[in-house]
Amino acid sequence: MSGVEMPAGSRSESLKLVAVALVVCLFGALMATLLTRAKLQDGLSQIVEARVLAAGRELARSVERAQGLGLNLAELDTLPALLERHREVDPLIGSIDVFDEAGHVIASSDASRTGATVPEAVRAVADRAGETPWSALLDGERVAGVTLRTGFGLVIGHVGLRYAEDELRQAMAAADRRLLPAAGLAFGLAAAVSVVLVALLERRKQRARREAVQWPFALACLLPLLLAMAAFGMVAREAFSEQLTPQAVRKAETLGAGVAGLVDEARHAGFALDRLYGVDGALAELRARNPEIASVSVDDLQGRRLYGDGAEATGGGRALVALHDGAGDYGQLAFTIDPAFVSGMIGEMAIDVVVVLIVALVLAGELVRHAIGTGRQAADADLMRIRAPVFTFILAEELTRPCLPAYIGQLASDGSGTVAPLVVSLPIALFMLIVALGQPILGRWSERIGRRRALLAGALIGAAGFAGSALAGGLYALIAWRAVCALGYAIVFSAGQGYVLEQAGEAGRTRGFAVFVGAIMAATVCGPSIGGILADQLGQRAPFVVSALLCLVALAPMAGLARGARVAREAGARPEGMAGLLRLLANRRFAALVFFAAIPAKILLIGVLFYLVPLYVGELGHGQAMAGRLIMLYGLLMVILVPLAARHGEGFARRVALVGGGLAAAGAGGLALVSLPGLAGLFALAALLGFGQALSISAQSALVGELCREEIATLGVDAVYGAYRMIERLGNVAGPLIAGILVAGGGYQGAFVVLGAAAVGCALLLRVSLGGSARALAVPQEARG
Amino acid sequence: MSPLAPLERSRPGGGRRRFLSAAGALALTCLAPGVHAQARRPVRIAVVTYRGRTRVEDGFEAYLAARRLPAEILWHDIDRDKARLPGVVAEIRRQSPDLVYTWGTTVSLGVLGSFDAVDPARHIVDIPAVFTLVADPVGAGLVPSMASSGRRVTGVSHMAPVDAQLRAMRAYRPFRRVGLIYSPNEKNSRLVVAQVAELGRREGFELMARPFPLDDAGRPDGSGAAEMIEALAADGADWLYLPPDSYLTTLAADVLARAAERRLPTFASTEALVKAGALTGVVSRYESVGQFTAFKAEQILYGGRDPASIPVETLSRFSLQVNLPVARRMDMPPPLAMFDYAELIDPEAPA
Repeated sequence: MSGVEMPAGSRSESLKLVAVALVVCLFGALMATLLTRAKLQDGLSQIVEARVLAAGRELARSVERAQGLGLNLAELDTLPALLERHREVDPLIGSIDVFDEAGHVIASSDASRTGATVPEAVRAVADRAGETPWSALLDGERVAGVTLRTGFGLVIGHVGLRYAEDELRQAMAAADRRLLPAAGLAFGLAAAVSVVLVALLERRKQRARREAVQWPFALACLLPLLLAMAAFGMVAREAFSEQLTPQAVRKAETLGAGVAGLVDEARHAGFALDRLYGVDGALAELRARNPEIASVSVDDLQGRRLYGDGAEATGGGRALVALHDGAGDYGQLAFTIDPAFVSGMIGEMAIDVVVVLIVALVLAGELVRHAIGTGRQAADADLMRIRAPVFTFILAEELTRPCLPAYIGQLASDGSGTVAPLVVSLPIALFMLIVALGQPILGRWSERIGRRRALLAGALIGAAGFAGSALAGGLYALIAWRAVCALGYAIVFSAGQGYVLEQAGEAGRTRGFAVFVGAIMAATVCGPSIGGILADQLGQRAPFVVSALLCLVALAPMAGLARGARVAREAGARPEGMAGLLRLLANRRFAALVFFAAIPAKILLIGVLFYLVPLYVGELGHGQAMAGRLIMLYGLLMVILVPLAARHGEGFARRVALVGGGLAAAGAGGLALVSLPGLAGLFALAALLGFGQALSISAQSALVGELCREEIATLGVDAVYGAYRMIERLGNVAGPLIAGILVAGGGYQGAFVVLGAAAVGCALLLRVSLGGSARALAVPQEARG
Repeated sequence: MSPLAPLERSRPGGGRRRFLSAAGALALTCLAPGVHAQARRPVRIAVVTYRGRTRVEDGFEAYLAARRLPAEILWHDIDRDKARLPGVVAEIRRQSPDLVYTWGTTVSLGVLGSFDAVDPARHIVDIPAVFTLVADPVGAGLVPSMASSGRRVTGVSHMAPVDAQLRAMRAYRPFRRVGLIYSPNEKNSRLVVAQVAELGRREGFELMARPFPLDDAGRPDGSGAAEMIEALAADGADWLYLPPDSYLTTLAADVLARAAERRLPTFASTEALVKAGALTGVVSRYESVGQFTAFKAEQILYGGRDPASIPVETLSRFSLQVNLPVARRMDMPPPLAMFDYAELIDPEAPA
């Protein structure tokens, strides 16, 4: 694709390549800064929340003890005083409320709030929390809390601790003062170096009058970026350490106060400090729950270590909590903070950074290809021009893949309760339905008005759909806007395909589709992972905003597309509608291929990867970035394996084996998920899905041609393939619906198992129904050969 | 703005009523006095106890009082003598109360009969009944399942699951051998012994279960209890586990004093056994058991529920009690973390 003869002195191409270097660096800089800031914020808020909750648990114990003695919350005269006492423990805490299940404030450290009602959102979060502490964000302030229960285990209310995030904001501001200039410097330098390298490569290429090769340009963009990321990582480590260590020390002090209370109680019960039991165990447990604590010990007044856990660390901060009673101090608790915990947090970002780099690599490749391939004089420049807008537009849709199910759930639930899985699947199925039904019609429409104009219209409609989705206030609005997105998607997809056919002609058809499919695959690798990160860090609506912008960005390269068709398409090549479809399905072997392979594969892909996986990832407590990574893994395997499988997929029998084997492998993914725990199962599932689809996708398409020779002869290639794609896309529609029904009936694990087992069953049926024809066809083929 | 600040001021009483429906009446022993304040004809409840009034009945009466449910209690006690049961049943028939309340496995089986052998001549069948403080209602044959008795009976169990008890025991001090003494004539004791033995097989500890000998009348004889403790200690028992055994409870003070002398830690399955001087135990508060029983009585008497439709339940939360004077005497402090959740009992502490 890169072997295009380039005349020297293409100024516009040089400018484009420089722009590519800048865009890739900017992307890297933005993502790295976003991830780093989010990680720091995450770490800080976890530490702060742990501090507040430590105080909350202490308070809940006191209240429950009083209630257990026969006193009731409303009768507990001492409750406001108790709340005030606990509020004073940590300056972070603004106020403490005790409210009942209806959200009615029974008592508060702020007397004026007694008798008021807490906001529904807070009440709902508290209600759902069960035994675990909860936390909610309201008007920019945090409420953390624990649930109060009677001796019968019935919920009698909740303690809510409101705390200001001032400390957190101050820490973030301080970190920003360090991080942002560092990011500017590191990535600015990287951009400058990239530009210089690109310019040098260009000059060398022009002097040598050599063909333009993509990869040195891609490397010129990426290597400086990689170095900048490493340098930025080192600065980030420093900033993390500066901000997190003092917070960790304060948290240790709060935890220490709790331990000191227990030691005091034990002494009060009549046991001497050096005669206590199970102290080492309690300290070990404390350390296990708070991995940033390197060591903790109970020392007597002489400084002897009576109990302890962990080896002391230096350089990470220390916290001391005095043990004292009415008679004065009798010992102390000493904590040291592990300086390596900061490195650990940086390390946790490694996966995201790798994801960003992979995306940067694909992005750089795609943009360089665009810059080089669309040079004015290139032989098939008009064909190559379709790649950039298709990539950009499909990227917009792919961004939303891992986020959509959770976003639907959020809008449908209105912030409280859970949503039926089927409700979540409906908008996805509707999208697929519009795309499936719309493509043939829109393909003809775009031929009439011109592919370029249709693409521009599709991108504008898409932009409106994404913008509307981002702003949607409820489920119905979202469904409506997603339908608009689907219309835009169907237009761009069918018009893009049409453009390729017109520019490449029958002879260049294969190469033309490779360009088209290549752009889509690249977008599949880049989109979901970045979309997941955006959703996790900036909120559910963020990917949709970015998608709307990407649609607008796609308008520019679309405007530069060729206006007219290079090759006029013959008039007869039109799908014949229902009659042709029925005639095709009367071909039993074709029907077997469609019903036992094509449709099940699509049900599996859409139902599992785009619907079940994002939901299940959330169910396991992971963010959408994780769902994005899984979909990206699928995309990566497709990019790598599809060409390999296509190369080895010659001959009917082998194609049948590839299609059946691929489907069985993809189905095995569903079974792998339930046999491997947690994320390992999900990664195995995504990998097997990618592997299976990659094996079968080309072979399946080729089989259609072999099985339908007669029909192709009479109806035409386009009609047969059009019908085939149409039926296949019905699987896209059914996928989320079937998966939704299965989840409602048998839970996630059940749905994965049923879909996986059904796919394996279909693969066996395919083998049985096409196995005979393999022999039947093999003979004449050999005879011909 | 404060996140807990009022978005809406609830109408007087409005929030409270919603709370009632949401939380169920049980949690609100005192939160909502006045709900049932209108005058009612007092209901008549026949209460049958095994060894006089306990704090279960205190909790039972306190719940009814707090909910303003007037009740006239007709007291019956068999004073540890099963032979008195037929007389009590006859007297209850004469009184014809609205509800029968039975305390413990022995009394409940005597008054209500086991579910598969109800005899209208010997048992109460035509008056709704609640039983309470039955350790294992299914094992004792009182009900076929916890979901429903299948007859006009429901009730409350007070036993924490045996595995939860042994977990607490292990948290206090690890063990390999567990000593146990029990009355072989008490069905609930035999059931608990079987459960502990099963756990021992699964978790790899040795159960040393020693039954009291029975006299000619089939009554257990505890005169050798002290020697049994000595022998268990000598054989290397790490703990002495005390099952919910009515007869053992009557001997508990002596048994426990002897165990403490031998520095053999003792684990109680009921609150009465902790009170008698066991080192520790996972127990239901008797008041809570009584309140829960009264909640079920209210559902029958005022809610119009068929007792068969009300499941038999145990409390969902238990107290881990630690007897501090015993712990001090034996120099066996609870593990530090236990001070966080244990209920410390210290009658010797200065007020």
